[in-house]
Amino acid sequence: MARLIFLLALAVPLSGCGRIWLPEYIERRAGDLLARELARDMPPVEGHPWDAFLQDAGKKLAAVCERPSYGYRFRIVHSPQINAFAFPNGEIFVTDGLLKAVGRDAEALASVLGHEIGHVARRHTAEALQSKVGLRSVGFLLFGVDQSVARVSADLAAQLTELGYGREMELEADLCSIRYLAALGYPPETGLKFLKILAEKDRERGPDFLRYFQTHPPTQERVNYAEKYAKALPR
Amino acid sequence: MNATVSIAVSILVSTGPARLSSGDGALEISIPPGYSPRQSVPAGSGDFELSDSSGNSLSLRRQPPEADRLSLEAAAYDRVKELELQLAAGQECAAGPLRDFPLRRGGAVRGLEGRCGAGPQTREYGVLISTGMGLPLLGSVSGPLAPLLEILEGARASLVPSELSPPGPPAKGPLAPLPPRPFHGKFALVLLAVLAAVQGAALAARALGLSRKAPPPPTAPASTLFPVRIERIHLQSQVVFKAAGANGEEWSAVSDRKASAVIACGMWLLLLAALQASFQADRGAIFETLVLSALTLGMGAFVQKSNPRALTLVDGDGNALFQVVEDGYSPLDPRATAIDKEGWQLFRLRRRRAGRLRRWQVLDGIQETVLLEVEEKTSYKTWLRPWTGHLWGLLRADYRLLAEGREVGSLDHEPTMGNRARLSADTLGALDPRHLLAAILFIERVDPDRWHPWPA
Repeated sequence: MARLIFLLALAVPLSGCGRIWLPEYIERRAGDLLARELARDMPPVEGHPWDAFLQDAGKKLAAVCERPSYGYRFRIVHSPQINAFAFPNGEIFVTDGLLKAVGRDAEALASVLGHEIGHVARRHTAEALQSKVGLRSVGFLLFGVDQSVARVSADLAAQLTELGYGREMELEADLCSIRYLAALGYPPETGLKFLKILAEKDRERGPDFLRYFQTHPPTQERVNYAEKYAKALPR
Repeated sequence: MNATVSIAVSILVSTGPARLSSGDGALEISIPPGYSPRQSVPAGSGDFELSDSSGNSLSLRRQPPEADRLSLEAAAYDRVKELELQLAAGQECAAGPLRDFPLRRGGAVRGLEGRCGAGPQTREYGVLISTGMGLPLLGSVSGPLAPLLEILEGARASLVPSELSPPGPPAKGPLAPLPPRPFHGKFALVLLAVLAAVQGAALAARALGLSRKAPPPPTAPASTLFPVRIERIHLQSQVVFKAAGANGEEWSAVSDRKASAVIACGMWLLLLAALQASFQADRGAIFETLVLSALTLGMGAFVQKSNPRALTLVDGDGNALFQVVEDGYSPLDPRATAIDKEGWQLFRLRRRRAGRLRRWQVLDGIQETVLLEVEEKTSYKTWLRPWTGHLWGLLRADYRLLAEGREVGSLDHEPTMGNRARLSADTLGALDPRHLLAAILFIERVDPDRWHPWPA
């Protein structure tokens, strides 16, 4: 019984149910490695028309977030994907595919930036890494390293939990976009602009039974959740 | 008839010229009939290069944003010279003056036309400059100018703002609070579900009779020693057992585990090296950690070899009765000797393999005749343990005690997370009951059931 209690006491903070204990320098180092890896497949685009706006909007949004002096850097990369990436070292990549999708809607782009800055400001990568280490440690402690049925089940349970964490973080980042834009003087609904563009494009997603294995919640669910939050904010 | 005409009209209406966007999305043009884009334009570029099947080619290149009219005109003349070099082929070229070409949509573009050669060998060329869309453009064509003019007629630029301009003043006060996460505490639920499943499996196994029930309370007189209740005390720096006989006697047994502690440190250092490698830390740092790990593991092996495992049986008053000490270092088939305070060899222990089942022999201290055999009872647990560990006590090894081929007792573990067992015996012959207890405790020390599936 003592070991069980000890195990639970060890696993709870490791999994991130408490505060984030991962040191910032590890977060930065992980971000450097990840950004470098992604930059190999997605080369930077120089002289893009959106570049000046990206730098200005990114700087203004970062100034109102929870970690204003973290050292954010914004870059446009070439990829046909409609995507943006936030790395734990403060680098944020936006694909030119996403810029085509926003058209000339500067506020939609700002809402994307707010979302990505939210991931960095709330230390989502650190939290995810910590929970991954914690959950894997618990599985490792309980079931060891062999590829047994018990071990595979523990891995699957850990993956499902990690996906749950991932989806929570996406929802939280959507709300961060609303909060940061509202702090700058935009109406709360501005933070939903890009989500609504995505929801239009989301109709060709897979059937619902796949949703438990997606890292992002379905877009309409995100829109509904963010709209509810935006409506509750004071004007 | 009317239906056929209406269908033909709709096709014409819906089939307009194809549009082409620049790689960065800032500029969109229509492709003139007969022309198609060249594949050689780099992705992400703001330029266009088109050609047709007659060998005419057309390009539209974005100029620096700060380019003024004079610099654009200079660039235009440079481009004219390039075109003349390409097209002349020993013939004379003549270009008209720089002039305005009006656009149907309004405004004009500036440029010039020229031709090289005469008669059937004539090659036309032209250059146009456009600044009307906020994007300075330089277009050139080796061929008729009309398609280039059409392109500039229909080109659309997507100009974007250069800064974020909120409509209202910034909000005062702190950021709006975030609501609690919708799946908060899910990890705890998953863990509880796993624990519940395991407990359920244990209950199911018990219901199916797969696990051993606790034996009935002893009916023997209180003066007899057996059954003896044994319990391992966990989370101690030493290995500690407590035992209590049916007659009220109590003992404890302790065994040092210095070697295990050192080896555990070495394993943690190895894990640290793996973490450093996964974060691509400096190679020197990884190497240092690996060396430290190897040294620690080596030290652990040395400590284990030079400090054989020993278990001391202590009575209820704290007096050390005797010690069971491992003979040398033989991890596969350990042997041990029990020695009392005067140095007399009381009995010996050795492990014998019987397939995967554990089997030990208790031997007379002097003549080494087999006094008792301690043999694991069930084989399925032996097969499962390497995969699951003792699985919350469900798969701990239970032993039967055999003397001269006859079962004279047993060691039965309770199916609990903690290590608790009951040692029962009726006739032991020449073996002292306390010697049996010490032997069993030594077996538990040296051949333990681990809660993890790592090899013992």
